[in-house]
Amino acid sequence: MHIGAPSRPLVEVGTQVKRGEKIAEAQGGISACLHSPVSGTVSAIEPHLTASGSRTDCIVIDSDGLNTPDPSLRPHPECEHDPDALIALVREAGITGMGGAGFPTAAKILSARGKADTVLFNGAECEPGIVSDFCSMLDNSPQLLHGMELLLMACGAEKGVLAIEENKSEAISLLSPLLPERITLRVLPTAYPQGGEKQLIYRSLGREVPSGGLPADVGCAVFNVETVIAVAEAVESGKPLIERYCTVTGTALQKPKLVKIAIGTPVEHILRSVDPLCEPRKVIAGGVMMGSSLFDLSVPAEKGTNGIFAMALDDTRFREQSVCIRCGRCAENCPMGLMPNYLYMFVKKNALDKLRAYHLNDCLDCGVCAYGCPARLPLNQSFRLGKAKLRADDAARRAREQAEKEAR
Amino acid sequence: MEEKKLYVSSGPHIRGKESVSSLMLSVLLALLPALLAGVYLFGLRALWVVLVSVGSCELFEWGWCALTHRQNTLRDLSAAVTGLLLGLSLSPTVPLWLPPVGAFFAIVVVKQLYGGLGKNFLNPALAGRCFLFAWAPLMSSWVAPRCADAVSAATPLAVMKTLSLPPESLLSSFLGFKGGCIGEVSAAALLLGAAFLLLRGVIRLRIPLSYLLTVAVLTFLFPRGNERILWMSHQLLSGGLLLGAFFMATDYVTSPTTARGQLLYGVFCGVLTVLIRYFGSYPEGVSFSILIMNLLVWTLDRLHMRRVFGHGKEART
Ligand code: SF4
Ligand code: SF4
Repeated sequence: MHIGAPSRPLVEVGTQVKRGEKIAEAQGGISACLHSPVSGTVSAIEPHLTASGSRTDCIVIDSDGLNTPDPSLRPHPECEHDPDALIALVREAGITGMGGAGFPTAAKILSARGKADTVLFNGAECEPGIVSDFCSMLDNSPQLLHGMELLLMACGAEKGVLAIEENKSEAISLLSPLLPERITLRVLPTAYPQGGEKQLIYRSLGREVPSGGLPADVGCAVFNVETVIAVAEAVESGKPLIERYCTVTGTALQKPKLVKIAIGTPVEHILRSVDPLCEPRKVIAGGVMMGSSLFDLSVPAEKGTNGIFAMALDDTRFREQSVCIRCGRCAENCPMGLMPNYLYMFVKKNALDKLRAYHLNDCLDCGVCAYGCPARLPLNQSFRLGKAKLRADDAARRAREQAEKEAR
Repeated sequence: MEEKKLYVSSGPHIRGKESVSSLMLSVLLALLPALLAGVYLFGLRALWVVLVSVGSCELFEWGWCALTHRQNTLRDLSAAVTGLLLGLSLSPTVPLWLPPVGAFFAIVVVKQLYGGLGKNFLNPALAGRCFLFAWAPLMSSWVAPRCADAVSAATPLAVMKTLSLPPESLLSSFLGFKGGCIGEVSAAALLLGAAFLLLRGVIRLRIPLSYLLTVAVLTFLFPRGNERILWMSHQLLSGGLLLGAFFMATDYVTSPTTARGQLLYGVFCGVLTVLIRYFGSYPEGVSFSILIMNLLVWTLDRLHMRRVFGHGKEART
């Protein structure tokens, strides 16, 4: 349910678990622990469909409906001023990036430590229509402020910048008087895609992460505000990452709703709780631009599931595909400065060298190009294919070189 | 919801409203004022010329698709746009068998033989028109007392030779009371349509503006005669310049897709237009300039790619 190595289960079928109890251990640096979001009994550990469409080992817990908390959870005041203790706690609490990609937060802090002079706190929603960041900031401003201080301390950075989109004026007016001196507020125009790390760093600080590089390369680290809040909660009460805000919306629902979900809840339950009668024909986990559409609603919500979109049939527009008319809209709008019209042609022609020369691998897969294409070409969709081809080509070349070396 | 199937696709799960046909429809609408002005000025005969041109373009497009067993592409409206542009850039007095000849060249030779919409590297309407130009004997048959192409397009040429300004006032030239091709004469109508396209976001100002500015600057700097401003204004208003700059040079397929490429494209079009108008033997500078620049579009694109994010030497602050 996150990027990196799968974690190792600590429970067996039949184990009684409490809410917040650790049920799986992180394996290696880029991995995260898992905790039970409910109290109940483990009923199965088996491969289960996830939002990405593949099967992953999942721990199925039958809730007893009581939500008895794990008694061992306690505040961790020792982490207030000790970076190492904080990183260990963040790791133990299973905290990952909650804006979408789900990179384990402890690993991120480690990569930024000593390199980052500025830490960015990302309150700019990653996708249109999602308000999870916004609402979590409103509801948990003390934790947000506390968490920002903690992360600055852990990264060893001097300055913090809280980035919020300008249409979230409530959050701006609530937070701006509360911010300490070393954290500045940066109000950004509302735009997509700026919740992405590279765009956010560029828009807020004017720094450009080099191609293939990390935010730490330009002295930055980026944390989503919900992640920040989770860090503060872990310190204040020992609560691991077991729930999150999720925007449930879409044309198939009577009323959109922002809900707090237990991580691991099947999407179907979440939808039913918002609108018991809904009959969606297309359901997207994540946002409408980059989320994945589900073919089975029993998949669990994940740590990065910030939105669920349930669309009625009429939203799934079947539109005729035309040919590229070279209108230039895609190139005009690409946040990375790529030329999708040419890339599309090169993918079709299988021109791998050209794909490299035109920097296909810098593509964010944000979907802006395909969104605006009047010919409705599957631009970024084909780029995924192109990237896979490049990866395969790279692997083949490495294997060849290896073989040659051995032959010599 | 268990029994019902779910639709699955990969993101983005929403799409913009614009489509190829909606864009083409906008261009058709934007050319309507010019057509109406032409019909008003030259009578119903002009309407016939345009209708025959549009009809024959549609027919050739349909015929080609039928012949090659391809999906009928009439609905994308691109053939209609080609037909309308071709018709508007003809003299109202041409024999009615002429537009179909141009239409055949435009649709079949220039567009479809190169693979259809999006693949042609010359603007079909312009190529069709120039094809008709190139068959020199037809040229003379276009000349008519009030509205010969020679009056509008050749007047600058004549003026250049005699160093005098055209007889019309600037205002009547702006409104369209002068000789010329059906859709070229009324600058007012063309600008109205162009404004619509710009506001609708169908075209951008880069190409037309750099094109017109270049022509303006060059004709201002090198006037024939003493009245710089008047000379420049007549140059801007006469011939196919406005139709070309706003409706032909901006053709998506045959113009660059990069911002800087587009600016340069406009500038070069302007330089070529003035050169041909001053020194060429043809009266028409605009069509040939744009066609010549069409050939350089891919080069311009390649030379003027945007800097890819994260590949700069220095991050901007
Ligand atoms: S937006 Fe679509 S039609 Fe326009 S240039 Fe890009 S790929 Fe071609
Ligand atoms: S998905 Fe399209 S717009 Fe987004 S970065 Fe890739 S090429 Fe550019």
